[in-house]
Amino acid sequence: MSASDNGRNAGMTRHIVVIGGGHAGVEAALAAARRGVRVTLFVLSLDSIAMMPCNPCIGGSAKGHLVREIDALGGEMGRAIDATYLQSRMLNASKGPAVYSLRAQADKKRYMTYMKQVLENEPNIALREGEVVEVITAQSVADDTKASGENLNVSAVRTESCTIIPCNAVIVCAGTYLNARCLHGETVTATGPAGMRNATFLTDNLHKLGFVLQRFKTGTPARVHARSIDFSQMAVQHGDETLVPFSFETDPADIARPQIPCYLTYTTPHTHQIIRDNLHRSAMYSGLIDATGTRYCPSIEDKIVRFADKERHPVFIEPEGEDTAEMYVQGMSSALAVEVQEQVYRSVPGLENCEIMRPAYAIEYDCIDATQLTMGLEAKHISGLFFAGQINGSSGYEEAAAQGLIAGINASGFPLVLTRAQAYIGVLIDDLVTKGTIEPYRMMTSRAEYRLLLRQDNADLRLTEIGHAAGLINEARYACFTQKRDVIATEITRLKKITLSPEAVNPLLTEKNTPPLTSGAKAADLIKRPELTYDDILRILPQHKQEDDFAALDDVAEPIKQNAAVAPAAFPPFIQAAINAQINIQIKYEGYISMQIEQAAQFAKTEEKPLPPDLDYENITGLRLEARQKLSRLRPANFGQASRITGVSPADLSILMIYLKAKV
Amino acid sequence: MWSSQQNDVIVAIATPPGRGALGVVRLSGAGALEVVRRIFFATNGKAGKMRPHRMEYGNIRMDGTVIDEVMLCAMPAPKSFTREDVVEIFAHGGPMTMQGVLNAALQSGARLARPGEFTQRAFLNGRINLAQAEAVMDLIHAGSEAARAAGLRQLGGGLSSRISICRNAILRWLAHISLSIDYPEHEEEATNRATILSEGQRVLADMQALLQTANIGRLLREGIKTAIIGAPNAGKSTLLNALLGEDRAIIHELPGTTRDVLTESVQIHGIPLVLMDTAGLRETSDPVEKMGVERSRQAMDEAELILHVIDGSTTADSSVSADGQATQKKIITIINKSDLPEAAQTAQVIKKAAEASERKTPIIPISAKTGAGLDKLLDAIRKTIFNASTNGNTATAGFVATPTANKNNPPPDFLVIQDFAETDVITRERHRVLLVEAIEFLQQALAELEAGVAEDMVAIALRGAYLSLGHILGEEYADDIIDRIFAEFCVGK
Repeated sequence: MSASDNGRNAGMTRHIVVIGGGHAGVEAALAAARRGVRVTLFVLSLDSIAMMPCNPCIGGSAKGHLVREIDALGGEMGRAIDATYLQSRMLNASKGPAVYSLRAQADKKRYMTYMKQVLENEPNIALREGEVVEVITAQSVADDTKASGENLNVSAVRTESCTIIPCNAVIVCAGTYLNARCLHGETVTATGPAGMRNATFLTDNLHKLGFVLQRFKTGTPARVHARSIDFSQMAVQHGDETLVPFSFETDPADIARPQIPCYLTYTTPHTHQIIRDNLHRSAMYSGLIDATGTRYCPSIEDKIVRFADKERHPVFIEPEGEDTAEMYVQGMSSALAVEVQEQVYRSVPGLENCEIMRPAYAIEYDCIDATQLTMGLEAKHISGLFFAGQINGSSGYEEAAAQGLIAGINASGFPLVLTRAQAYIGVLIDDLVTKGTIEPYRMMTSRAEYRLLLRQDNADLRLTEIGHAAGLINEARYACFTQKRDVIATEITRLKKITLSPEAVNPLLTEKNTPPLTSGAKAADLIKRPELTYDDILRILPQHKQEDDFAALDDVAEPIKQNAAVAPAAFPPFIQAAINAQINIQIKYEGYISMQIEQAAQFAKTEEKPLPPDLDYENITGLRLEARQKLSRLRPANFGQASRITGVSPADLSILMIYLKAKV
Repeated sequence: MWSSQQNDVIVAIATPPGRGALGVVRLSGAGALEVVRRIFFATNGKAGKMRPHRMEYGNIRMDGTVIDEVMLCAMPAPKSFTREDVVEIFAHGGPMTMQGVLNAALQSGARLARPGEFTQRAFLNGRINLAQAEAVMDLIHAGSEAARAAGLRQLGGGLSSRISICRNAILRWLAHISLSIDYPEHEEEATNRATILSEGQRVLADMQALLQTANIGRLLREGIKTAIIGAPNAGKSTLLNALLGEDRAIIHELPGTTRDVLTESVQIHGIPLVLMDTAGLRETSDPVEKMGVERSRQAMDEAELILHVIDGSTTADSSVSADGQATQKKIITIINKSDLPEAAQTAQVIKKAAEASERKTPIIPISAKTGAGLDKLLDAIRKTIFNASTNGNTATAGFVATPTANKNNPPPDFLVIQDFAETDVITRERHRVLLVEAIEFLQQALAELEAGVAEDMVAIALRGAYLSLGHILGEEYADDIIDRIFAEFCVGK
């Protein structure tokens, strides 16, 4: 627990400064402000709030889960994308429900406008254009929970105009702006993303405050004019007919719209040849960039070099907005010289005559080593100093927003730590602060141990209670949520009790091509059959005359009647549909779900085994050198955290465990 | 504080308690050589030589008195079992002498080792991994030469590498599944179910083959219960004595001499057998002999291998034969008294009968009296025990029944374990349980794949298999395992 928590909980008048108005900064500012704390949000440009400088979409595999979780906790991202989407798809629909993932194309400008308005309408937020150049700290007072005298507290920030603004906490959401450089070919500009000005002072300040900084690199493809694209040579990708909004509150009927298609084409051997011939013209291969890029979304040069045997790579053409002709060329991120980019792009079917409006570029920026942070995203050595978003080494709008929300909640005095078994957000933050990252970190479903528990469909069941406790879920939504939760639980219990007679179900079973019953079966067991769903069973349930069909089942007849009487009909259709889907999933996958719950419980047992904070790892000679160093530096709180540190092997953990046992 | 204890010199008697020709006292820790230097002297009273990794001769003295005349070997760190300085003192094996040497070391500055501490140090110093630590225990408890060889092989990591191969394959599939989930837009990269299914069958077969060895491993540790049965006076006791190489059982031509079950342990080609000589099976009115017969039947029930001795000089006792045939045990039919002329004819009769029957059991003519054919019998015992059952009856603990053989389903080839040092054998119960778990997970995953269950759900069982195999290797962390492993060690090992 941080030193400043006591102060916060004591209800001091609080003021939080948020540095940066990207996806992390927006959620951080909103969360703190909605919790009743005064917030000043500094942005380098008011025109860059919630900007999407790269791909025009929100969600995708695992990222969609993050957005649902943000919404379940009371964040804004889900509602924003619901209001401004151009196309929506449920990815992985052919796979299991754990990995269904929402993805929506966003209208970038409208998304920014939406978010800016939300911020403007929030009474506790002051929006300020300007650069924060220094975080000012002071020795903390009256802190008897820590032994050492070196406790620092945030006290103020200084702006470029030398104004000092006192505050109790600072949330740094500087994104990719710190000492940013943009590169393509031989051209280097000292700018942030999309030609915005960069921030050049904060890095030094953070360095002086004791943070370890790293230099990361990411990139974006060119934008091309829609009129110059021959879409007839590409495969059309339409949105889903049945719309699933990101926010649990959004009624799809309210946001129904004609969806705008995307297009798919592929690189050619000619494309690859041009790239190979011009690798020296890429800032990435000419030695101009020495920062670390991400493996998760490589530039087209990287793909050609690293996967030389692949004959083609997919290229997706996506709209940037309804009010612009700019089209985003996903899969063709590059740092090649602009004239080479043009050749490369024009070698792709459908792009033969493309007009590049904005060139592709790579961007380098400073970020911190997030292992210096707590699970609440607060600096371990400076109370009140929080970090969220790409400054922590992550990549992606959704990853940033999720961190911003958690930092905002924690900075405003509600200590919230989500575990790996609770949320993708828990996995994300634990990975960042425990393992650290040596390349921009992207969320993926494979990073979660308990994928089946962390579904996108049950994010509200997992987190809305917490969001309500944090004060970010209003009473009306909370009431609706608890009702939904109870109805689901009650109905599942009922379905496990009801026995259906062969006469009642066999017509349905025959219709669905599944073997008929010879004796009664529980409704829940029928739902587990692959050919059947809860909705199917529901069709025959109401047709039952309870007196007749349940009469033989003396012991269950009563509860069923009672439950039936309780079942409300008050939900709007979209929530009822979500309830039905939830019941179906929970029953169908019950076996798998309970298996993962058991695994999670075992994990928690190890997770909670504490490691003494003063343990002298250097003295444990059996540990490998790397493990000794990492453990000394990171000082994990428990075995669970220690087990996830890169460079600490299970053998090291065994040695640690025996060492501790022997010591006692 | 542990760190001060971690390198201090520990000492223990490393050989089992009791009287032996020789016994070993072992020391380990920084300064072990100095401790020994204070008590080890040349016969002329000068300081004893202690060249690294050489056997040295001299006396152990305490307070000027010679306690024993010993050989010792000093192994300076890190070239020793614990990666610390180690000295092993080979003294004479009487309890008093051993205690005297131990006391000298204790007085000279060593501390008595806690149970398992030597191995614990080897482990803590990175000399061995967990699986190897367990193998050390197998070496300690090795009941036979073959068990010792299997333990040594495991200590070298042979088992680990076989399990690693299976585990890596599963990891590869998991990666493919993850790829198709996390990059759904790249559908061309999608996992090929058929590939996993076919590779999966191979890996499953590998794991099952390894599990087969678990039975062998257990038998190597505990010995194979072998009942010698047969009609009275068939020569069972003579056979026992021939196998033991000594006169253990009282033999007499009077039928029914053996009234109780005699149990003796013996190693044959390094394979431990627990031989049970039984009373002859026959209807009798003698109450004592009746009890003996009863016990014989019990012994048969307990046995994992039955040596059915038939008197070659007469026609076979059909009822006893039926008894033997009725059990699902492994049986070797022995036609004794092959030195007598009638034996050849009896053998013919038996062989004909055997050919007509469903079960093919080895038929070995011997003469327990002259020792003729004993070699062939030993070979048959060995082959019968390590007969690799390929009938898929994998999860059965203990002996797997010999599969029914007929023309369409020929008996499986014999897996003859020529040299245990070259074969990976699962010897630990913990490993067997985890392997069974992994196999079940993999079977579930493959069944789900075939049934068209979504890949990400299949991944749950695959991950289960992956974790179980990881636990065998100690590459997954579970603290209770460590406790269990080190609790099993005894002092000085």
